[in-house]
Amino acid sequence: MKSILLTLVCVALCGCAKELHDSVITATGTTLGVEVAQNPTTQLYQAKLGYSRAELAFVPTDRGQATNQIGGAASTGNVLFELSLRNIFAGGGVYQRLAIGNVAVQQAGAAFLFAKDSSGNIGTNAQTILQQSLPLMLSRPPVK
Amino acid sequence: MALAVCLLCAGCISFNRNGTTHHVIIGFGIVSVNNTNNAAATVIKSQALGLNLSDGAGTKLGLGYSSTTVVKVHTNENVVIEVSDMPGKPLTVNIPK
Repeated sequence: MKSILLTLVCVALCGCAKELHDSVITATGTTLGVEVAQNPTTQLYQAKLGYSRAELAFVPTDRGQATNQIGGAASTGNVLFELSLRNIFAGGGVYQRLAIGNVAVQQAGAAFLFAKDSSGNIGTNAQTILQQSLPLMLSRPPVK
Repeated sequence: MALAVCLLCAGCISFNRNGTTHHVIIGFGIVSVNNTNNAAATVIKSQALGLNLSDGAGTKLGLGYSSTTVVKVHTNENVVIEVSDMPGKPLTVNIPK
């Protein structure tokens, strides 16, 4: 049994990673036990034992691409992202909202979505801000 | 003996409800999803008890209890999306128009 488990672990650790430059990725995970996963910052595999919670938001840039001449990140996607987590001892739960793209981040729909609180209601302060900013938002020429 | 019991109990079921495909695996099973379609956004929720191996974003290998929620959106899309994953409730994905 030990040898089977060891083989499975070895098989899982082998492989190569594909660079994901075409997608915005958000991930959240809970593990009770053993977890082996690739660290997105170091690209190395790491193991965790016990209880672990991890949240990840990956927004690709053109850093290191042939089209980028300046070396750093010359362009990146426009992203609005909010992640709300409940304590596991309070029942747990994950709530995420995202607006991705030049048009989406400036949409009135995105403003409404992000104005809501965790229970889905729009508070008085948020209502006031929305009332003030919506005419300006709607009067702008459409983003291309 | 334990291996024989595991093999006897093994089974997979897939069903589609409200446009979402659910895969329930007891024992040993493999879920393969064709991602060559042009979906603007993909939301994956995975819950596993036992050994869980994945080649997608999130947990790669989990032993014990593991739960992951992954949202993937292509950068050339314009998407506003809301994902709620509360205990005891189904995963809800809302894309306001």
